[in-house]
Amino acid sequence: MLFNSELFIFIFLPIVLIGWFFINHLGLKAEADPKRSAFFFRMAEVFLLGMSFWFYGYFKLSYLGIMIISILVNFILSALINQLEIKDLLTVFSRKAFLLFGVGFNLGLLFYFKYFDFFTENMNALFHTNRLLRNILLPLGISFFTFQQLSFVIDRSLGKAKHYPFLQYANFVTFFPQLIAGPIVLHDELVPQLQDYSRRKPNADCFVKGLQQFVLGLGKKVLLADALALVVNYGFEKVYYLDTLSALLVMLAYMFELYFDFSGYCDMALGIGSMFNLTLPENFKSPYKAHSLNELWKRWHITLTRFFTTYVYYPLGGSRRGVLRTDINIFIVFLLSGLWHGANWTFVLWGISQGIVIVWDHERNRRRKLRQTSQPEQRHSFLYWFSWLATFLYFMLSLVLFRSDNVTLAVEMYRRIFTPSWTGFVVELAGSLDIAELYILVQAATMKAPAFVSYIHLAGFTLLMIISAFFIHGKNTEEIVSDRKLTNGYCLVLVIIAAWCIVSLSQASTFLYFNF
Amino acid sequence: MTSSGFLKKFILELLIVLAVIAGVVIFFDPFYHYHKPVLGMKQILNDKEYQCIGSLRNFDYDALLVGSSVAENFNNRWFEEEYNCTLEKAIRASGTTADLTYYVNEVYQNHDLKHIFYNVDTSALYASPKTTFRTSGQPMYLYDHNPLTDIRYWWNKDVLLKKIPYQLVYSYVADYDEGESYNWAKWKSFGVDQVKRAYTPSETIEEMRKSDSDLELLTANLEMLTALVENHLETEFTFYFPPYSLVWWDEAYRTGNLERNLYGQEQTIKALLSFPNVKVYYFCDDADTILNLDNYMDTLHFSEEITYQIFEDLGNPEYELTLDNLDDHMENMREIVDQIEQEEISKYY
Repeated sequence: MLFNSELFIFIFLPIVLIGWFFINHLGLKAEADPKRSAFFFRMAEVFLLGMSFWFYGYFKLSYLGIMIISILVNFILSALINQLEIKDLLTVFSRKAFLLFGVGFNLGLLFYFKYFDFFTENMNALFHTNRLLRNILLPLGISFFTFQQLSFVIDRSLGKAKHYPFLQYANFVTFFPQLIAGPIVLHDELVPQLQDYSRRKPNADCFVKGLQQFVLGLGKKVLLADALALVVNYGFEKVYYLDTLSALLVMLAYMFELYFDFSGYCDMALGIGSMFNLTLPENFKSPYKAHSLNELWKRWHITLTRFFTTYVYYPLGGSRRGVLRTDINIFIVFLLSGLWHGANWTFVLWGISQGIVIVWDHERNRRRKLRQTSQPEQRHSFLYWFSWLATFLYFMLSLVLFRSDNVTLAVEMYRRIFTPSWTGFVVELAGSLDIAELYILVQAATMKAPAFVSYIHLAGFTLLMIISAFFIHGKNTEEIVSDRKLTNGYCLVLVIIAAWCIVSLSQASTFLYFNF
Repeated sequence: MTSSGFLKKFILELLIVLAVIAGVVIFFDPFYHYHKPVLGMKQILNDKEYQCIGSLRNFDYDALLVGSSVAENFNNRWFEEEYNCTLEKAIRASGTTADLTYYVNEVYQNHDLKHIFYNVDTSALYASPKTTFRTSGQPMYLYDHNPLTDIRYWWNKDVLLKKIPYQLVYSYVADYDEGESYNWAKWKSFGVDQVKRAYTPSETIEEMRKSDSDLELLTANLEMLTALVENHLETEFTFYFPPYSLVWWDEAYRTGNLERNLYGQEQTIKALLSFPNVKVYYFCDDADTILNLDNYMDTLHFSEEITYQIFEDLGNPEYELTLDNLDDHMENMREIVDQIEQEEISKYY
C-alpha cells in the first residue's frame, strides 16, 4: 500500500489509528486489573501487527511470507540466546556462533533476493559460463527490514540487546510507517517506546506535529517529486538527444526529485509515527546545504550512514588502526552503501565515487588539523560558497550513475554534459512537463496562439525548478514543524496542500526508494 | 491556537474543500457517471475508457453501435437519420466479445433497444471469454457499482483541471459535432506508407493450423453472442464483418491462422443467422476496398470514407449473408487470399 493512495489515507490510516488507540484505551482503563490490562495491550499489539501485515501484503502476498520467515528466524535466534543466558551457558564461542549464523542468515536472504542474479551475470561474464538467471523478484523494503534485524541480531549476540517479547519484536520490524523505505530504525529506539504504555493514548500535540509532517511530506512527494519525475524520465529516455544545458537540467531536476521523493516519504513516516505518539529517527537534515560530501552524508539518509558506521566502520577498526586503514574503512563503507542501493555496477561505481571524495575530504581535514589551520570557513566568504557549490555539483554529477540503468547510459549522459552543444532540446524537455496544472493555459495557447505553447511549458518548468530550489534552500520539514505557530493562515496552507495532494492521487506514482 | 483546536479546524476545512471539489465534479460529471450533460452542455465523448460506460448507463437512446476501434469513426447521425433512432456507441478498443457484451448487458438494465449494429472482429472470436477491464487497467471506479470507489473520480486533478474545462470549452466555445463521438480518423493519415510502417510480412510461412483450432474459445465467444441475441428478440441486430486490408489476410496466412479464422467466421455467421431478428453483412471479401492500401493506416484500420461506405452498404443485398450465399462468400474470400499471396503482396513488399 502506498502512503500516497486513497486507500491508505481514507481507510487504512484512520482504521489503524482508531483501532490502536481504542484497544489501548481499554487497556489503560483496566489498569486496576493488571491481567486484563495486559491482555488489551497485547491485543493492541496483535492488531498493529495485523495491520502492518495488511499494509505490506497488499503489494504482493508472497512478500509477506518472506518477511515473516525472516522475523521468525531472527526471533528464534534471540530466544535461543535468551535460553542460554538464563541457564548461564552462553560462552564467547556460542555468542560468536550465533553472531555468525544471524549475520549469515540475514545477509544470505538479502543476497539471494537482491544480488543473486547480479552475481550470476558477472560470473557468467567472467568465466564465460551460461548459468540461467532466476529473475527473482525483489521483495519491497527487504534492504530496510533486513538491516533492522541485522542490527538487532548483532547487538543480541554481543549481549548489547535484550530479548523482546515476540509481538513487540515483530512490531519493531513491521511497524508500517518505516517498513518500506525507512528510516532504518534500531531496536533500542522503537521497542522501548512500544513498551512504554503511557505513549498509548492519543496526544494532540504529537498528533498535530505528525499531521504537519505527513502533509508536508505528501506535498514534497506528490506535488514536487512526481512532477519533476516527468522531466527526468523523459530526459533519460532521450539521452542521445540531450544537449549540454538540457542534460544539466535533467540532472538538477533528478537531484531535486530524489530528495523530495525520499525525504518526503520519510517525513510521512515520521509524521505517522508522531500520530502514534512514537518518535522515529530523522533521516534528512537539508543535505543539499552541505559544504562537503562528508557533511552531506551526515545529512542524507542519516540512518543508513549510522548503520554502516556502527556495524561496519567500527568493527573494521574505525579510525583506531592508522591513517591508511581508516581511509580503507571509510572507502569500504561507501562501497557497501553503493551496493546496498542496488545490484548494478552503476551503484557500485556511485559508491566508489562517494568513497573516493570522502576519503580525500577526510585526509584534507586530518592534514589541516595537523597544521592546526582548522578554522571554520566564514559564512558568505568565497570559500564558503565555493565549497557548497562544489559539493552540490559533485553530488549532482555522481547521481548520473545512480539514475542510469547501466554504465553505457551513464557514460553517454556524462558525454552529453561535458561535450558542449546546443540544439535547443530544452524546449522539448520542458514540454514533457505534462501536468494538469498547465493544461488550461496550454490548450488556450494551442487554440489562439500555438507559438506560445512551448513558452508556457518552459515557464512551468522554470517555476517548478525555482520552487524546488526554494524548498531545498529553505527550512526542512522538521524545522518548519518546530518553528511554525499554529495559526489560522498556516492551517489553511496545510489544508490547501492536503487537498491538492488528494486530488493528485489518482495519478500513478512510485517511490524511488522502494527498490533499494 | 491549541493543537486540538488546530486539528479540528484542519479536518473541518479539509472536509469543506473536498466536498466543494466533489460537488463540482458530480455537477459537471465529464465522464457521465451520474447523469446526462447539464446546463445545455453537449455530449462530449472523446475518451472511451472513461466515458463509454457512463454514457451507456445514463444517456437516452434506443439504438446502439457496438464494436472496436474500427467502429469509432461512424457518425451517429448517419444512423439516426437512416433508421429513425437515437444512437450511442459502445466502443472497446480490443473489441473482445466479453467486453462488448458486458456493455450491452449493462445497457439493457435500463434501456429498451430497437436496433443494435454490431462490428464483429474476427480476432474477438478467439479472445478470452473473460472481460478485460480490470486486467487492462481501466478506471474500475467507473465500472463497478461501489460508491466508495467513486472518490477516485471526485478528487481527481485530471478531471478537475482537464476534463471539466474541456467539456465547457467544447460545449460553449469551440465547435463539436456530437455525432462524431470517439472519432479518431480525422487525426490520422492513411496510405501505403503508413501500412508499410505498421506491417512487414514474415519471411517464414507457418504450417496452416486446423480450422477447428482454438475451438473452446470460439465456442465460448459464440455462446455470449448468441445469448445476447436470444435474450433480446425484440431488438433488431445487424452484425457486420469489417473489411480488413490485404496485409491482415497476409498475416493470417503466414501465421497459419487463415483457415481457423475463416472457420470462426463461418460458424459465427451460421449461429447468428439462426435467429429471426438478425441480419449479417460481410465486407471482408470486398476486393476493391481491401486490395487498396490507400484506404488503411495499418493492417486493419480504414479511413472515414470506407466507414461511410460500410454504413451505406448495411442493407445492401450484395453484402448481406444468408445461409444460401455463405459458401460463395467464403469461397470468394479464399480466392482473394490466394490472389493476395500470388500477386498483391509482392506489389508492396
